[in-house]
Amino acid sequence: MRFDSTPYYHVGEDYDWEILVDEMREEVRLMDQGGFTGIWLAEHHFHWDGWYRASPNPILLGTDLIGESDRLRVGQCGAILPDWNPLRVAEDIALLDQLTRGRVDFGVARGINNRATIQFRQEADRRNEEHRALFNETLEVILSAWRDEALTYQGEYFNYPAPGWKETNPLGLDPRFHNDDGELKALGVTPRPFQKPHPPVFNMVESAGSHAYSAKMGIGAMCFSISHGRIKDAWRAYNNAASDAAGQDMPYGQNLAVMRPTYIADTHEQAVADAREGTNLLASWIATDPDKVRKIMVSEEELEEGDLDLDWFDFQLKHDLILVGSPETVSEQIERLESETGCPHLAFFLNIPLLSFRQVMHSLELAATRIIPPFS
Amino acid sequence: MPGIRFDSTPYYHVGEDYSWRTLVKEMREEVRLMDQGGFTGLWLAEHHFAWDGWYRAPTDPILVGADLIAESDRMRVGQCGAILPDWNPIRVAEDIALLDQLTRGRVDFGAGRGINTRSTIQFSREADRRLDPAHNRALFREILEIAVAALEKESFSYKGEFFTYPSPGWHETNKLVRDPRYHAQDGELIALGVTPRPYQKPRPPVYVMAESAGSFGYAGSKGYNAMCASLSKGRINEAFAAHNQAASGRLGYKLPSGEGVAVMRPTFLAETYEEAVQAVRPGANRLAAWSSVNPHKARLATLTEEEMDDDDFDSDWFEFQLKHDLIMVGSPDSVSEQIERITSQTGCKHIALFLNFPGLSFQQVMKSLSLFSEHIIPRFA
Repeated sequence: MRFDSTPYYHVGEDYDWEILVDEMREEVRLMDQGGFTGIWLAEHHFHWDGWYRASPNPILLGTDLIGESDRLRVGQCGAILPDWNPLRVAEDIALLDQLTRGRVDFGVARGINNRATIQFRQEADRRNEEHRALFNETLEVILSAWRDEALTYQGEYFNYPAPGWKETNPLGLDPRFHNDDGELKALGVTPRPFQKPHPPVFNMVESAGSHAYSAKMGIGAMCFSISHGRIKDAWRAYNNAASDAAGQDMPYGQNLAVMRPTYIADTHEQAVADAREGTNLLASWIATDPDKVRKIMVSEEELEEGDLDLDWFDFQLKHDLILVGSPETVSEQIERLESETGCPHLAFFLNIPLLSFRQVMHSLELAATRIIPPFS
Repeated sequence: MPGIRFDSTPYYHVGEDYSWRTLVKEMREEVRLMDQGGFTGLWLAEHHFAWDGWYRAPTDPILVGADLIAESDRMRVGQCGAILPDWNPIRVAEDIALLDQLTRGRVDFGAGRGINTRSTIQFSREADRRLDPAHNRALFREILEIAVAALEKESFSYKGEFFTYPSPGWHETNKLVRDPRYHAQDGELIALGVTPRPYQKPRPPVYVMAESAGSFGYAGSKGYNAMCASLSKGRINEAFAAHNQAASGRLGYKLPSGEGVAVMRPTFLAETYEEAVQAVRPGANRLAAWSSVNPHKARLATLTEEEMDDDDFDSDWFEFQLKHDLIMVGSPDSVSEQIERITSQTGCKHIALFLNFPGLSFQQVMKSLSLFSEHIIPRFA
């Protein structure tokens, strides 16, 4: 199994960035030493309240943090596409891929924070259905910018190149990009990615439908908050769509990954005591309707009587939606994940609120010494 | 004249089909040499769609800056400039603040309007310079104003010709996150706060890439610095005076001359003057041909009337530029004389080297930087 991780951002705290940057670099050095394969960085804007503290640009922060390792891969979980110009994100990912010599995993997401996303683009308002079409177009433009040497795109939101530009300097004319009369007919996005034709793409999705869409687009998928039963449903949908697209049976589990909030302490009791309050706090901040959300996360067969009465932490732990415990109990959780879903790729999400940097480092050390070696 | 600050760009192999893998290694090595050699800052340009090698530079100077500046614990890092019409105003403010945190306050925020319309209209139709230069200028100034407000203020709102922040109609339903700085009593979002906050308070210095006295005056009136690249000493004097007057007016006291203004110059040094001229001349002329510079018009715009001589239209582009100190090319001694002239005649205290003459090898560029570090910086810094 491949193991990745996010850094720890001190979500919900008014935390000094000067210290945070040093801590994140130290975490990445530990991941580098400890056998992790990749780091993943989220995109969150306008977190003046500390919720949800991450950086507004996972590609830029990744450029810095990956400087701590010559080996680790670096991804985004995800780049919130409606917040980006499609050309800018295609360029930035290609640039980071060059800077890291091909160690980028490009993670994309539609975004869950409407307050932030509408500041970048009104059409991205999730209160309208239109936001899905915008996301799809953005992704299509990005993939075409990498897959095609010369990009042309006619869509509802984007048209490339912008019409009506004529090259007047004969030195610059090129039949790939210009008509005979010098009109610009295509764009070449530079630099080209280091990985050919482009870095692996992971769509941050939860539903079976979104998994199938990802397969159709020829990209991978990473889920976060669905149970083993739901993962199986989603991955079967992905596998069917991938096989349809390829015209042949594709191997199950390919290009698929799971991210899980994770915290490990020396004993199970200690880990539970450390993680419970922050986990519950995060849920109240996100202001979710607990009953409705629990039924989305867990399939009908998995949902048991009494599940709706548990606190958020106990509900999540019971259904392996979070990995919290001692090295032994978390190993059991990962064994269940592996045997019940065939998961080949697990990313730790470290951001359970209220933990200290020392606790997080100890958790990573335990993962590095006690979890990763037997599973990888 | 001591006290001069020296900065530099890296070398991008403009006009060549050059491997990015090699380019990245070279740029990092150049920055290490600059770090050792007493340079103060690094400047990175923004150029898009360089499929033809012209003009090869990073597409995102903030991102590449984050990589390259890791080679130094001391140097500053700027953009010459971030082409603001190609950016979302919030995104560029966030990225500058984040880079400022990552470097612990070593960012100079350089902003430009962009000279490559082919590229800029791909990002914003509003930025088309063919339509109305005033429109493009207004767009640039509005984006800069928003970015600066976002950097300086913990909470800000903005209503302009092109942008409105926050986007109207968002009501916060979760009472836990309501905050009187950002929400009205009924929960409506009335302001935004960009995070992280910049490391430098209230914000990193802003440098406007400008080539006219008018633009220098604008920068001075807003509390921004300004940097020019292609003005003669006479024109620099006019531009610096406009900046100083506007900046002093804003401050209410006389800003010392030479404060807040900088000059960028294409630069190449070799052991001998002849060697340097021979290495640079073809590339300098090729760059002009590629840029479609109209030599006659460009020469008139670059110089003041007093500086223009009868034979100035007959020389080749390289010769013209060298004669008027628009490029610094030669031996350590002859370039020292050029810097002596520029600093004494304009009061300039901040010079950035632009390394990108086409056709040079990495070894030539490194040698040039070494000569500059060894012979020029100790004398002027």
